[in-house]
Amino acid sequence: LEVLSSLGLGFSIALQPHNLAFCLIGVVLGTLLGVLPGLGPSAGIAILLPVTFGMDPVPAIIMLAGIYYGAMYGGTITSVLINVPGESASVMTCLDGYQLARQGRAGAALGMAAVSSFVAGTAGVVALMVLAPWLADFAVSFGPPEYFTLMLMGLSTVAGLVSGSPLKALIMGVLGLMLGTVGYDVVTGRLRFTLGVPDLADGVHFIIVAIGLFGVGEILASVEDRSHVVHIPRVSLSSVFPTVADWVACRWAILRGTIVGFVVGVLPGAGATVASFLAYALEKKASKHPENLARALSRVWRRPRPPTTRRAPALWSRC
Amino acid sequence: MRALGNPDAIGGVVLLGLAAFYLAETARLPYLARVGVGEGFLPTWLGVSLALTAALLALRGLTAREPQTLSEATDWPRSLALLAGLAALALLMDDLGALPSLLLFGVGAMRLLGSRWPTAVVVSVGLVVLIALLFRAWLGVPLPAGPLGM
Repeated sequence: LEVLSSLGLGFSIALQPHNLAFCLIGVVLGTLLGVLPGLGPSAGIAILLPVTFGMDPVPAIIMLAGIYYGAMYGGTITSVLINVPGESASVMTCLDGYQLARQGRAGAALGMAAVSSFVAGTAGVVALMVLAPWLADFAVSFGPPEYFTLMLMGLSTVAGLVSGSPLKALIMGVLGLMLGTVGYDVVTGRLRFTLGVPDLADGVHFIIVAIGLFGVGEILASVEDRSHVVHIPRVSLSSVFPTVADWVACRWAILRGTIVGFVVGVLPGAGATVASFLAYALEKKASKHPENLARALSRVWRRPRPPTTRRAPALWSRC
Repeated sequence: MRALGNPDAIGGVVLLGLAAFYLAETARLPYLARVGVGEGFLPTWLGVSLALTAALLALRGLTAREPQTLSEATDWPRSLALLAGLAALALLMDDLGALPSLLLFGVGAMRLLGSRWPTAVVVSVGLVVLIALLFRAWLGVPLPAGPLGM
């Protein structure tokens, strides 16, 4: 009961008009920053922290939270529209979000990503407040064997995510791990594979690899195949808002994503990137057409219209 | 369609070379430390794994009944030129400065993609100005300046 009253007090403060206004400002600033490739939520907070200097603590924290979530969503925008992840947690959004955009359904993909993120984020915060004492014990009990198992599970999702050759997926996984060995060894602190280049001492960051793979890959695809036409889809405001049918169709996907994100997010060190990989793997497992979620999505699309005017419901869970 | 080679076999051989280089570098690192594993432990196994999987890929490419072939429709000269441009951008950025090297790369890449000279120059200059305003002026990101201070 005390938790509920605390939650009520928190929401009553957060929902005050001026706090909502600061949240909106934070979200707008965070989104603007988040669409820049390589700048994620942490960088967004660091860069925009001076904006909150001199403010009262409550609106300042609310604004910083808005910046964080805005920057997270900014990464989704570039993933869907131009196939370049803005930050590491949006890498999985590229896989089918961009395919939806190429089918003229960018608005639906962006809208549903925002709505599901809001639902999962809110549910996660509430659940965290209610379950925090038990979750703290659970998280602290996680030791090296548990983390090893979690990482092994994360790596094994590569086999589940691949739509082509499992051997090539395995090779890509090994190459990724090899890139991860560049820089300081976390156990001994000695340098490995820097080839005398000081810039490599910090290692090769995940987001740099992701941007390179998706962004440069897209450019090369357009050069290699003369019939490959790159187009940035037009998104109308009306196409962004999900319909009731969208909500019904996406309910299980949102629920599954919320649970996975919450459980993985609670663990220290795992983070949003691992959670997004596991959630995507789970959706592929749950889908009737795991080989191509975006194409399967188009099969359950209602009344297809030309790309610029299509109102596109995202029917994820039927895929 | 003219066959330009077997991609699995070519990829397997290239990866085998990479694995050999990686293992050679790994050989300089201690496999075991005084307590527990050394910094060469994981790389050794990764190198061996890559060598084995790459050999398997090459073997599969060479023994396939209907081997895949690289498409003739692929514009290899332009693709390789773009990759070379990217490598040159990474190498020259510190010496030439971020903005001039990005300008050169932008013009070159757009010409490769078929844009006309005026379009390539105008778009690239606009992009470089935008990057300068956004990253250097607003966000204060220290981009490499080069001899021109740009």
